[in-house]
Amino acid sequence: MVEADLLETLDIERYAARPEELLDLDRTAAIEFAADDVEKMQLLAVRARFAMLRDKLPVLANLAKEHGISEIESLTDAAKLLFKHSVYKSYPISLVEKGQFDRLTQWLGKLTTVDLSAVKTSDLNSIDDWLDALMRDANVRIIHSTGTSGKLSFLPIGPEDIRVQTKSAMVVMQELGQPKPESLEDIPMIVVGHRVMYNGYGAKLEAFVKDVYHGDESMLYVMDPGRLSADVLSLGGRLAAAEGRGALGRSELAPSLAARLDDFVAEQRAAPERRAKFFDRVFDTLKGRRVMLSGNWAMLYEIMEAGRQRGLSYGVFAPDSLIQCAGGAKGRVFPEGYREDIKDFLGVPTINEAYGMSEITSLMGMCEARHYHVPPWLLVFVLDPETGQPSPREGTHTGRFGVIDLGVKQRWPGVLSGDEVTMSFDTCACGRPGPHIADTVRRFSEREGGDDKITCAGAPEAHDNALAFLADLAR
Amino acid sequence: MENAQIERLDTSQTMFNVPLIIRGQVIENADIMHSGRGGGISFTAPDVGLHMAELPLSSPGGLTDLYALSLEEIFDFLGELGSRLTIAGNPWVEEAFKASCHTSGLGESILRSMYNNLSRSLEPRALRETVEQTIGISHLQGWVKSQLDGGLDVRVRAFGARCVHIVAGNAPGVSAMTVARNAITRGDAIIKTPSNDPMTAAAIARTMIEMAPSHPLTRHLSVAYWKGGNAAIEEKLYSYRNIEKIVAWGGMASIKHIAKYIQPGVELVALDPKLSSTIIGKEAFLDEETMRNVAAELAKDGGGLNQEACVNARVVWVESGTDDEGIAALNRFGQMVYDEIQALPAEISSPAVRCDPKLEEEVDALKIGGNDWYRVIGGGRDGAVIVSQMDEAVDFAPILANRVINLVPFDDIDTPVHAVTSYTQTIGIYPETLKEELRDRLALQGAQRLVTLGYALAATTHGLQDAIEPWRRMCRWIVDERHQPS
Repeated sequence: MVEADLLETLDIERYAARPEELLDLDRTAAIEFAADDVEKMQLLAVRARFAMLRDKLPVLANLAKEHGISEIESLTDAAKLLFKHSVYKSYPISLVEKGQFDRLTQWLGKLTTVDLSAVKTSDLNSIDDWLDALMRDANVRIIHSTGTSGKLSFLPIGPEDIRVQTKSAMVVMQELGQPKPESLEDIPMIVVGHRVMYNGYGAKLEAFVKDVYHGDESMLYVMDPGRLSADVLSLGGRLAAAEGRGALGRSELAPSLAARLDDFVAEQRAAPERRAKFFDRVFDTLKGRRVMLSGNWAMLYEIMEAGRQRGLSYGVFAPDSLIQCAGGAKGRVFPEGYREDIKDFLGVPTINEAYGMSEITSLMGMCEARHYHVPPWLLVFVLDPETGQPSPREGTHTGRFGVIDLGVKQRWPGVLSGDEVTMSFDTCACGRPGPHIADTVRRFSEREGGDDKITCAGAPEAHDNALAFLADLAR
Repeated sequence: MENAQIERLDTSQTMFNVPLIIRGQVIENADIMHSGRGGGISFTAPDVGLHMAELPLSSPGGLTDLYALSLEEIFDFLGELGSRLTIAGNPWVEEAFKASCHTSGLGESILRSMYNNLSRSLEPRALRETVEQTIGISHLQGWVKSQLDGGLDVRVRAFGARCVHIVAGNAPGVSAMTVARNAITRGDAIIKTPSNDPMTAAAIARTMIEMAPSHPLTRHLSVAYWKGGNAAIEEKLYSYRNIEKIVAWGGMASIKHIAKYIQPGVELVALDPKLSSTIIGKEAFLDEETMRNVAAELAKDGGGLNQEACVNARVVWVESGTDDEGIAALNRFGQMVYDEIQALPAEISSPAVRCDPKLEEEVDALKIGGNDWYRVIGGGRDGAVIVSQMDEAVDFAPILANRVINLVPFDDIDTPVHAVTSYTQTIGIYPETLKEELRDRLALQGAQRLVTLGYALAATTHGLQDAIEPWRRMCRWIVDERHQPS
C-alpha cells in the first residue's frame, strides 16, 4: 500500500502479467496513470487473458470463431470479443422447469474454467438449492439477474475471482480524492435487502462478513433476514409471461409450485411489518453513529422517507459514515434536489457515487467533476449500437458501453452492456486522465421504449413484480 | 425493374405535417410537435383537444344521411376512391408512403407495392362478396324478414354505429380496410392513427374530400392523431354520448388502457395482438423434391412481408421426429427454408429494415452458448432459421421477427396442439389431411384461422378475422318483432 503513494509510472510488464494486482493500489492513484501506458498494459493483458481462456471456454472459442479471431492483435479485436448479457442465459428454460440441474451445470461449465464435476445435482429441487450446491461443492458463486421474463442469467464467479471481488469491495469504499477509510471492521453496515442474495450486492455483503467482520453477523443491520429467492423471481416471471400468453390457469401449475405459492403470500404479507421493524432498529441503535450503507438512489430515498416518518429530518448518522450509491434511480422519478436532501438527512458531506454492473468486479468512482473514472483493470469501449464498431480511443463518444474486466481469470470477462454512455478518452475537468464517463448513463431500452406504435403482431409484455404476482395468483 | 427506377423518390424527408380531418374539413395547424424515437418520424399535428366540440358526432341521428345511399352507390364510391390511391398520382399517398419508409419494418420495395395496391381493400367485387359472407347484403339494404317457431314475425336490419377505430400502423391496408368497413356498414368513423403510420388514413380522407367534398361518406370520416393515453381527449371522446364502439387493433398496453373506458353503451371490438404458427406433418419428408417444395411454401409464410404481420409463421412445428435421424433431416430442411427465404422476391420480402437488438442478442447467444439445443442458420439482417434440436421452441419465441423462424421437431402431435393458445391467430398446416385431422382440436385450443401452408398471407374475402367477425360486430343489429295480439 505504501508503494501506491510512490508510484507514478505504471509497471506495464508486471501488471500486464497480473492485472488483478492493480486492485492492491490506492484507488485514486490507480486512475492517475498515463492513459497511453494503461492502454499498452491492457493490450498485453487482454491478449494473454484470451490466449489463456480460449481453449478452456467453449463459448469464448465459438465467439472468437464467429469473428475469425485466433489471437488479439489490437484493441479493436478485443472489442469484438464481448459477451452479450444473453450468453449467460443461453440455456433452455425447460431445464429449470423440469429440474434438470445436471444439464444446467454442464451448460454453466462452458462459461467457467472451474471444474464443476463435483457438484451434486441429484437431489436438487430448486434454483436456490442449485446455487447453494455450486457454492458448496465447487466454490462457485453465482450472480443472477432478476429476470423479468422468468429466465435468469447465471454468471459464475470462481474461487479466485471471488478473492478479487472481495478486494474490490474494499477498494471501492474509498472515495476518489479522499484518503482510504480505516477500521472498517468497527463500522456497522446497513443492508437494504436480504441477508442472502446471489447478486452483486450479496457478493459484496458476503465479502464484508468474511473478510472485514470475520463472521460477526451482529455488525449487519439487514432489512430481511431471509433470502432473495431466485425461484421466486423465476417463477413469478414465468407465470406472468405464461398468463400474458393466455396459457395459464392455476390448475396447470405443478403441485410442488402451487404449494409454494402460499409461502409467497405469507412472505409478502409480512413484508411491511418486517420493514417497519428494520427501520426502527436502524434508527434506534445507529443514530449518531458511523455506518456503512450501499445502495441505489431508490434505496437511499426509502431510508430517508422511513426516517422522516419517525420524526428524523437531518444529520441522522455520523458525518464520516461511508455512503455509497450506484445503480441510478431504477426508473423512479424523485423530487428535485433529492440528492442534497438525502445527504442532509444522512448527515454526510458527500456520497460515494459510482457506476458499475454485476458482470464486472469494480464500481467506477465519481470524481469532483461528476465523471465516473475507469480503473486500469477495466478495458472499456464505446461501441456503435448498430454496427458494434468501437469508437476511436480519443475524444468524446456516445454509444453502447463494453468492458473487459482484466481482474477476472476464471471466466471470459468481456461484456457488452445494455447501457448508453458518453465516454471521453481525454483529460477530465478534474485533471485526471481518461477514460471517464459522464453522469448520463441510461439503458438503451429506456431510450427506445414508451412510444405510441401499434401493430397487429405482438406478444403481451410480462409483468414485473414477481412476488406480488405470485401472491395475487394465490389469492 | 425499369419502373422502379423511374418511380424512385427522394424518401429522405423526416419531418411531416399531419392534418386533423373532421368530416370533410381539413385542419392543418401545427400546434404540437411529436418527435419520433426508435426509428420514428417527427411530425407536427393540430391539438385535437382544441377541436373536441366538433370531433364526435354528438347525435346518433346524424347518421340518417347515409341511408339515402344504396349499397351499390357505396361500392361505386369506394371503387372510384381506390382508383385514385396511387403513389404516382396522389401527393398525399406519396407523402404517406415516404413517411412509412421511415417508420415501417417493411422495405421500400414492399411498401411501394402496398401503397400502389391500396385499392385492393376497396375493390367492389371483393367487398360485395365479403359483405355477403359476413353481414349479408340484404341486412344492410333493409329489414330482413323471417318467421320464428310459434309464428313470430321478426325483421332484422344491420345499422351503422359511431366508432373510434384505433388502427395498427404496420400495414397501410389497415386504414383502407377501415374506411371501407365504415362506409359499407354506414357508420361514422373517427380513425385514431398510430405514430408508426400517422399519414395513410389522412391521405385517404383527403382524397375523398377532393373527390366528393359533401358526399355523406366523406362527411362521416374523421382522422386524428393524438398520443395514445391522452386522458383529456380520451375521457371526453370515449363516452356513450359520443360513440357506440371502439375498434382497437393490437398493442396489449393500448387495449388494456382503452378497456377502462368500456361501460354500458360503449363496446370494445378488440383485434388483439396475435402471433401465428405452423404445423408440418411427416409427409414433408417423403423425398427431396417434396421437402424443397414444402420449404418454399413455409418461406412465404415466414418471410413474406418481412414477418411484420400477425399472420406470419414464427414457430414451426415439424413432425421430423426427435431421434438423430429426424434431427438431421430437420437441420437439412432448415437450410432449405433459409435458402428459400433468401430467394423471396423483393416486392414481398427483404432483409431487415431495422435491427431488433433484443432479438439479435438472443440469437447471437444461442449461436455461441446454446449449441447443445439449437442450431442457428444465418443471422443478422438476412434473417435466420433456428432449428431446435429438441421438441421445444426457443424461450424468446414471442419476439421472433425480421424473418427469424424457429423449426421445432416433434414425435407426438399433442406437442404442437398444446402449444396453441388464444393468442394464436393463423396456423399454416401441411398436408391438407393433417389440417382436417387437427382442425377441431386446434380451434378448441384457441386457434382462429387454419390455412394451407404457404397461404398465411393470402388476401381473402370471407371477412372473418381473429374469430371475432369485426364486420358483424361493427353493426348494431336491430330487430322489429311483430307479435299477434291473442
